[in-house]
Amino acid sequence: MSAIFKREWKAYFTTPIGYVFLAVFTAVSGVVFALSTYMADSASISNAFTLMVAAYVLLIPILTMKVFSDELRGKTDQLLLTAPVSLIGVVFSKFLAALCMYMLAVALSMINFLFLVLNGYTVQKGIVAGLFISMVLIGMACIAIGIFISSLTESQLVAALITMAVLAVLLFVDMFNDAIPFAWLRVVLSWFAINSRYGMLTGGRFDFTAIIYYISIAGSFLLLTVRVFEKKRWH
Amino acid sequence: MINIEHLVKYYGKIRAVNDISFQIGEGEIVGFLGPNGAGKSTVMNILCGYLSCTSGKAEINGVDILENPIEAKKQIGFLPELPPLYPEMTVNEYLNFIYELKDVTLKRKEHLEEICRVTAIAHVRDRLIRNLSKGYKQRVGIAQALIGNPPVLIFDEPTVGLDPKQIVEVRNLIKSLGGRHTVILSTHILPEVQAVCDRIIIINKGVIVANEKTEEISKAVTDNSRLTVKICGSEKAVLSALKGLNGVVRAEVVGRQDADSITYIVESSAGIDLRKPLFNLMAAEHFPIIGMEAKGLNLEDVFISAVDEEEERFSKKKRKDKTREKEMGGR
Repeated sequence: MSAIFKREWKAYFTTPIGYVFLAVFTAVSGVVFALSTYMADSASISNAFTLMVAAYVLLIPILTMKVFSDELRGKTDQLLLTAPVSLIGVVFSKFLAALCMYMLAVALSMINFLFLVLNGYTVQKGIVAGLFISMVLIGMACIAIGIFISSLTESQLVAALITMAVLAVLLFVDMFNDAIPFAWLRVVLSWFAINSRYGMLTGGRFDFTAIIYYISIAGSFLLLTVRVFEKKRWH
Repeated sequence: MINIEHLVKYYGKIRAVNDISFQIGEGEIVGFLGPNGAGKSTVMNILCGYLSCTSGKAEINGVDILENPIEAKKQIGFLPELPPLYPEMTVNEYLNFIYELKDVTLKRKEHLEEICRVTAIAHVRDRLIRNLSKGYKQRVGIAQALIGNPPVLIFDEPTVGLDPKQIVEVRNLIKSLGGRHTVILSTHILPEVQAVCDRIIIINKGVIVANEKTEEISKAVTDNSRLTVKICGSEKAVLSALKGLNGVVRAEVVGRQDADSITYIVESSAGIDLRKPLFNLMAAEHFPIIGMEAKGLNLEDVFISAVDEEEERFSKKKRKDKTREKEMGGR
């Protein structure tokens, strides 16, 4: 399992994807942070966070589009699936590598707070920690969704576009949910409204329902990815 | 070493493998032959755990691939039709990755050096896989299958796309692996099977149509009961002399290359070597023989006849079933 994690992690840096992701993530987070805090003369980071999560629609597919589609295109999935490793191990190692890459980007974006402090604003440690944890949890759910989609196609481009579309629906669903005339559909869609829960975490307190919600979403999509490969084996 | 019992595989409603059973002993090199879509790759993929069978059993060294896949996969080195390589890695990085992936306990440095020596890739270890030629990529593919010294090696069309020199090199490499490993290889190149394998299994439409030792097939190939003879003299007289020869079952003209000589094909009953009596007869009749070649059957003939026989048996069975159905309907 560690072999797959190590290879994936290295591959982010031997191909341009890792660098592109880090550069775009840091640039977007910097701009979003600057626009909504010291340029707006405010130390409130909730606007910055909302905008940043919206940008995940474009950022997460960069990270996940190649995870399995590249293996399917190069037929290297045959190597992984015939190696003495469990299918869950293969999927989880790849997920972990993508998550670590994402966490590195989030950690780099935390530098933005330094500029806020340098400009004389007071930043509460609890809020920063809550923000970091929220970003990791939302990212975890989005990455699992992206990995699942990349297991369905050989084309990185198709994987990226579908991930963008799915994340756009899940991240913006609560914006148009009120306009839906059917109550049951509103309820169902609200379960999948990923960004409707992070408010509970960014307030500087731990809300276990939100934590379990994000971990469940990630776990479900990783299990679905395992199912995709199991189904291929049986059909 | 390998035990396959009543293996069946459906792709949706299509039956790709239909009740296949065979055993392969330790150290044997077995060739899998069959036309495209015959089910060769499906059987190989089931053996490696890449696909699951609909019913039946596949065991490697007594370990069932479905019941204990991880333990069974430890016994196998697999080279798929397209070598599973990561082009952005160097050969060395790739081999180290496979070593860790397979969780090998042998001494890393010595083991990898040995494999690089056997597959002759030591001098390209620091090169990126994307920059290697097709032949070297294939060798790296074989090298990854050898890592961990698995007792069973499965190669799916290992010489496809290689140049003639590379084909001979890869063939020799595979041959050298026999004895130490049990090897299954699938190929379309019939002389390759003859050159490398101890046994040949021919598959068509998901069924085994022949499972013979290579020597048995070679006997058919080197059979002297079919001769191509180039003889000078009148066609009518030569043909009547040929047909009068003891043991001849068929004699006919196959070509007329020049005005002076005619090429005939002469077939005798099985086991009768016609070369000497034919020479003596033509000498006595003053018809000079200017060329003679034992035609025998080639592997293509063996392959096609095995496949045809099975198809004929299948269509006969189908006709019989239809007639029976009609009779039952009539009643």
